[in-house]
Amino acid sequence: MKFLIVDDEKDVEMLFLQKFRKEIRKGEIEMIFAFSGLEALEILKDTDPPDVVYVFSDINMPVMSGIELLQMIKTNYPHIKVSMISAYGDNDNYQKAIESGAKEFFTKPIDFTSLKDEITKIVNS
Amino acid sequence: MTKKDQILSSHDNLLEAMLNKDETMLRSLIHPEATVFGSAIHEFEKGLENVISYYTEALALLPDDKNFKLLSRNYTDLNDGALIEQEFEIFFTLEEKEITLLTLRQSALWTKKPADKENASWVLLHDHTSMPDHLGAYETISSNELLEGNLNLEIESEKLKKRLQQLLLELKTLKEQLVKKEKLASIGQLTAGIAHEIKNPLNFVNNFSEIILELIEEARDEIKKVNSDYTVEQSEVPDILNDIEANLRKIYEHGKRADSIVKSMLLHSRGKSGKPIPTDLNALIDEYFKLAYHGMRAADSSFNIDIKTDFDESVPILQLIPQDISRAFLNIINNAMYAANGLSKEHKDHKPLVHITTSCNRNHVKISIKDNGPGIPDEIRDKIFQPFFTTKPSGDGTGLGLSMTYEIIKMHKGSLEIDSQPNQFTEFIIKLPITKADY
Repeated sequence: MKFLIVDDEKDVEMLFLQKFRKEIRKGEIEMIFAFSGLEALEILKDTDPPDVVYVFSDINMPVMSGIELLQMIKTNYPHIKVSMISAYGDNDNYQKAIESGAKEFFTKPIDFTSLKDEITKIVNS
Repeated sequence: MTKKDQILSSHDNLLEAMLNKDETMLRSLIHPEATVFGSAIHEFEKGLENVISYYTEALALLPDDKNFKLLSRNYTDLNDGALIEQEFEIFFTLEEKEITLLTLRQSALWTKKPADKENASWVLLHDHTSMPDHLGAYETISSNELLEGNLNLEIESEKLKKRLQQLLLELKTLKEQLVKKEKLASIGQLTAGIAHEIKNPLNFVNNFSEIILELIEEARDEIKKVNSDYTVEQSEVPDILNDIEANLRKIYEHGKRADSIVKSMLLHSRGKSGKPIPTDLNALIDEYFKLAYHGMRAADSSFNIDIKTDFDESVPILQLIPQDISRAFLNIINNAMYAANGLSKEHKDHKPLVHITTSCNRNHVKISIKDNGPGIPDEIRDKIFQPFFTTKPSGDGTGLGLSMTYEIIKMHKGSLEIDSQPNQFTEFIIKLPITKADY
């Protein structure tokens, strides 16, 4: 089961790979990374239909914001789940994300326990 | 109204129009063949249009809310005209206190409007305005020269000398207050950016520490499994140690990152100018454009912009005053983002972009900051470095940013050029000299 993590902070990759190393080692999940919204869309285009089931995206990124990415994914691939992860947990961002079809809204610093719960729910369903 | 009253009131209107840069009023008061002598930016001007621009530009460096006060006036009636000789002060009011900026002496010749034989209507034919000798004339009206005390003072009267010194001190204090205000304003803009920039590395420090604790637990479990058939080398332990090491490096890296942000923030808010120290210019610019970006983001969640950077790795370490030079770049980058983003609010398909490039040769480092905003119209190109000049809505800018930027770059013996094409781009090009000590 493939998860795509989108964040312009490159060290997010190392962090996620270690945080989910047991799940990855067991083969329960696969994690891939994109460092911009455009890169994320390219990855989704790679296979038809995309093999990614769930996207977790940062909001505050240069060029294409996470909200724009969310809207494009929801327009082109409505079945892919998208959740936001943002340091700006203000109401404005939250409302915009939920209205645009985000499944969940996680704030930074990331609470990995709740993120793991969310991923486990998807894996078991 | 007598002829004298008419001419005196026309003369007052002329001064008023000069202070307010009221071109229409000036045009109605000046003879087509008029001439002026001055000791400001222009030495001598002839003809209506030149005289108008003399009046509108002569005092352009002074603050907007200036006013004038007559000290003495002499009126001599002539055939078909009159001569006015007067001394007047230009001042402005700050916190209910009048601060004199200039004292000027003027001789003005008024004559009848050429095509106006019937009505007695008067126009200026010649004006000679200069600083009275006892104050010492200097070429360009510049607060800096005043402040640096480069005046050629040959003042006999002790009283006048004291007054002048007091005025210069007041002007200096005022300037310091304004600069402080501008610095505080830029700190305000940065606060949100700084909070965001510190939070990110701190999150990494916390997360990687947590992972290390988990890894140590795993290593302990692995060691328990070790026996004569399963050596430490065969176990997961070496891999786990490698992971711990990599994580510690990340913690160190992100700790340093947070530290340098706090350091630069402290430098930035410090009032006094520091000393030049060896500075990595690429790293400094990289840090400040991120702060500027997140600052704008936090203030306006719809704000978005593409920032491209091309840093030349061969840029040497330069001797710079980091808190000053960073403020200079911050001002230019902020303006660039403001301009590019502003245009995209008007045109939906406009993709705002700021491109930052560094390069160098043997003699200097060149930094280019280019935005695809609306450009700088030719009419205001000369004005943008003037103190208090701003195109932002009132309250959004102090009008001091670029004039401070210019001074900072001058202080570093660098140069600043602008290239701009209306509706296409604006490029600020800064060149900083490389001295032998920089290698």
